[in-house]
Amino acid sequence: MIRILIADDHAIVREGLARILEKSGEMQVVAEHDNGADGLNWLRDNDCDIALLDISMPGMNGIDVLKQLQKEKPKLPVLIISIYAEDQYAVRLIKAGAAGYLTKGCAPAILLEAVHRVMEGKKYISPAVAEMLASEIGHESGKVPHETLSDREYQIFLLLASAKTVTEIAEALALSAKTISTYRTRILEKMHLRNNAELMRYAIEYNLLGNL
Amino acid sequence: MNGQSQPFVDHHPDVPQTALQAEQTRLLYAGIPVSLAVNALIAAVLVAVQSSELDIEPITEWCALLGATLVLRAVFTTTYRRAHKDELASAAWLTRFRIGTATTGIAWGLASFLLFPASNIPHLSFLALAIAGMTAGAVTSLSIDLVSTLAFIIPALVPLIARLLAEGGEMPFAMGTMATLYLAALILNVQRTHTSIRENICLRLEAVAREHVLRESKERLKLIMETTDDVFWMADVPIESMLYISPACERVWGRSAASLYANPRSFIEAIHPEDTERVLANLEAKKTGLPFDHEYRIVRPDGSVRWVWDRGFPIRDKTGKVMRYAGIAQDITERKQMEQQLRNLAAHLQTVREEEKAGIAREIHDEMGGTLTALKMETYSLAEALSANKAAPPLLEHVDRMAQLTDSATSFTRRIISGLRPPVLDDFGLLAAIEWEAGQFHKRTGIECRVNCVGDNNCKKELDKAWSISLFRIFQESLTNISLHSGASRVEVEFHHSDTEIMLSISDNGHGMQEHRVAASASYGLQGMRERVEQLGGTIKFGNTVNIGSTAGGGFSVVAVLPLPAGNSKGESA
Repeated sequence: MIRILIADDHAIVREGLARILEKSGEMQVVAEHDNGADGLNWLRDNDCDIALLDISMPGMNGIDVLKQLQKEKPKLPVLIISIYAEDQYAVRLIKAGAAGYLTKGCAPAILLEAVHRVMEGKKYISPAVAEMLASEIGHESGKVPHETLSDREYQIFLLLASAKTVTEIAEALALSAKTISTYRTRILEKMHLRNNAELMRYAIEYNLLGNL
Repeated sequence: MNGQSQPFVDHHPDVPQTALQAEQTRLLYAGIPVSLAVNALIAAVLVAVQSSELDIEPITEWCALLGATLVLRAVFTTTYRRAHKDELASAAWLTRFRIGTATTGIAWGLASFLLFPASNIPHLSFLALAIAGMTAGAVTSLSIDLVSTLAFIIPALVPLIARLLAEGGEMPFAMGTMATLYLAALILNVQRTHTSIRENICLRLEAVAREHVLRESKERLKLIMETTDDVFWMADVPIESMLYISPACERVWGRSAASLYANPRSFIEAIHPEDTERVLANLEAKKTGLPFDHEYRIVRPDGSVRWVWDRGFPIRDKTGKVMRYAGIAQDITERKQMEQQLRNLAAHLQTVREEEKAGIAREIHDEMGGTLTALKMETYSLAEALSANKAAPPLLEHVDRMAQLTDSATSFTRRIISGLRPPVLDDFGLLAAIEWEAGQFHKRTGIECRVNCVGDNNCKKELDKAWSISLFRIFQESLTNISLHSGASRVEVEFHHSDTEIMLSISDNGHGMQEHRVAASASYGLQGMRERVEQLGGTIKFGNTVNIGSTAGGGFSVVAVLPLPAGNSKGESA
């Protein structure tokens, strides 16, 4: 038996989910809560195999519970189920440690598939989410370092390369010196450079200062 | 003064002919009483002296004659003095005067016939002396009017000359010749005296007229300066020394004009400490000779703070060099207060609107979301139950359609909720919401939208709701503008969140916006963005992107920078 906790503020939704899960014969809903805090408290004293959490709940929402569980019970798989579309939440929640993301109203089969997959110790990634994750990586390949910079980063890069100080750049761009320092760190990181001297050498090598 | 229609005196364009004539007439009549007395006195002495040598008859005749002319002139004078002021300029008075003088002249001329002691040289000399004396006196008293003078001296002297020359004998002839020379000299002298007196009168009249004009204009100016609440000023270049400041300064600055003259620095000392630097920088710009226009606060001696709108305009000399600045300063405290109230109201409406949107979004989510989810689950149950029944396939089609309808209702509900207030903004913060919105924008418009967050660690801090919703709305508004006006193919978003400030920059590679449109803030969109940022004490700049050697073209950019109050960041989040 897979023991499951459900936290959702809608009683009908909880009932519906419980029905689908229990009908499979392999799963049992061991706890139902209408808010995140109660769910979390229950989990502190009890155990289950999977936590199924809604995002929007009064008081502590699903995301807060997830974060807390990551600290307290990092091994407990958490499935998030929400009315919101995947594009807003799925990738972020999976990055934040959720085992999977389901939209409410998904087919019962998908819910069961997700539970099984998560029980195997894997993440449940829907095809749509997989695509979103894929688009996040491999974006920058095949570019020379300075082409990965954003327009403003590039602007600041050129100013740094022309030996302007952080303060001068901050004044020129109406930003604080601190912001410019952050930019500088970020630029050096992105371009795999260690200091301004290397940065200047790079600019000269690629002949980037010509049009300043 | 009825201006151009009047003839004016030569060389004195400001003195009308009539004014000069009226003044001449006035002076001539003013001299009459003395002149009559002198006439009577000299005539009395002459008659007394000559009576020993002559018969009583001619003497009486002459006395009657002269007396009559004097009476005539006295009558003229009296009526002149009683006459109405408006009539005094009339040429008739001058003519009357001339007639009076001419008759007196003739009477004195007749003395050379009636009172002429031919045989007695001393008595003859006395007569000549009396007539010459009269004419000499006439030159001084009458030469204001050339005609009157000549009308007196010629009839008075010519008969004497004629009589002397006709008399024969060495002595009378010599006297006659001398009298002729005297007459000639007198006529020359009269002309010179006349010219100089006339000149004097003209100058005096001019001065009076000028004085009058000046006084009137001063009076008008003084009225304006004293009655308006605007402060007029004039200052030397450099501005430190005040040449003039109108009395209204006391009402605005609470300091008297005198105190401002006495201590030129007190003008600068009166400026609110927070504004001093800005005002001095603006005044510095004045060295370029451009007009200036600024608003700043002043602190009155009683400690109250007023807002002042001060404008200055350069005054140049003939060579174009700026000599002075003139300006107007106005108390705009009330306007400022109203502006503030308006801003507060706008801010309040904004907040209320956001709260309302969030409330509706929550309501829709809770009620509609739950119901739709349950409905969908019921549909699945129904489908499952039906699929066990072999006779059900046609019914299953209906159930399928119900599921689809529920799905579209759900996605419609999501769109409404996200449109009102993207839940991701509250759950994951600003950056996540911006990234999500950027993705939606890309899908909707096909314009590439890259979000770049500087300093990954900082981006995860949670912002106060007021900050994040404002920046998110600015972002949305910018994207709307880009999709409507820019013609851009790419948008670049920079987001930076440090402990002290948060920066959001949105730049596109479109064709930018004309400067004056930005300056005029014609668009409510830009105005709204500015309001939002200013409410939070930040700054926002709109402008055409200047990319140094970058691949992107010079599109439009919006850069908002908000200072963060210490402790605004709520620490770590997701």
